[in-house]
Amino acid sequence: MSDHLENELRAALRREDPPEGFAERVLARTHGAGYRPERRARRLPVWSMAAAAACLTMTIGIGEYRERREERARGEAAKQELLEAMRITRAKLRLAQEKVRSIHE
Amino acid sequence: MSRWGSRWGGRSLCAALLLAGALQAQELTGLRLLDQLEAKASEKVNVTLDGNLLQLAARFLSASDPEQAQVRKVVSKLKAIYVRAFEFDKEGAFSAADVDSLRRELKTPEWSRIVDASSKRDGESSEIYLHQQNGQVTGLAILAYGKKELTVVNIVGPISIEDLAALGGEFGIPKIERNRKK
Repeated sequence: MSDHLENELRAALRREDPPEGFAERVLARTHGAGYRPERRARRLPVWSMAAAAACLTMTIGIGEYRERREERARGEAAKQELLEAMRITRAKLRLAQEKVRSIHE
Repeated sequence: MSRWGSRWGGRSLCAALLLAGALQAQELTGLRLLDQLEAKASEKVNVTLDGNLLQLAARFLSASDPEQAQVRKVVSKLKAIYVRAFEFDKEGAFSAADVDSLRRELKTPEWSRIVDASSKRDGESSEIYLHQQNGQVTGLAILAYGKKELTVVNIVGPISIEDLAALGGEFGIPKIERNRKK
C-alpha cells in the first residue's frame, strides 16, 4: 500500500523540463507584448561623467590658452624685431641721404 | 601617374624651382657668413624675419599707432627682412673681404646700386641697392660700414620708394639718378 502511494507520488512529482519558449512566454505576459529581453548595461554615475567632461574641457581650454599665450609671446618678440629692423633701415637710409646731401653741398 | 599628371607635376616643380630661385636671388646668402662676427662685436642686432614669422609680427602691430600702421602696410607685401648690425670696440674686426663677399652677390643684373656714398675722412660708406624684376622693385639691400661698425639690411619682396619714404617723414631714399652697376 505504502509502496503504491510512494510510486504515485514520485510519478506526480518527477522532474520535467518546461516546454520550449516557456520562459519567454511568461516574461512576455508579465511585461506586455513589446518585451524584449535586454542585457543590463553598466552605467557610470552621472557625476563621474560630468567630472570627466569638465576635466576634458579644462584640459582643452588650458592647452588653447597656453598655445595663444606662446603665439602672443612669439608675435610680440617678432614685432619688436621688426620695429628694430625698420629703425635700423630708416637710420641707414637717412645716413646715406645725409652723406649724398653733404657731397652735393 | 598619367602623362597629363606627370606633365603638370613637372611644370609645378619647374615653377616652384623658378620661384625659389627668384626669391633666393633677392636674399643675400653672404649674410650668414657675417654671423661669425657676432663674437667680436660689442653690440649686435641680428634680425631674421621670414615667411610666417614676418606676417605674425605684422599682425601684432598696432593699427592705432601711425608708425606701426605704416610698417604693417609695407610689411604685408614683404617676404623676408634680414638685418645684421655690428659695433666693435676696435678697428679691423671685419675685413674688406667680408664686405666684398656681399658686394659680389649684388653684382647680378637684377641688382642696381642707387646710392654709393663714402667718406675717406671718417672711413664711412653707404651703399643702397634695389632688386628689380619686370620693372618692379622686389628687394632692397643696404650696406653701411665704418671703421668700427658694419650694417647690412636685406628686404625681400615688393617695396616701393613711396613705401620706404612713408615709413617716417624725412626718411627716404635720396632722389638721385640711378646708376646701374655693371
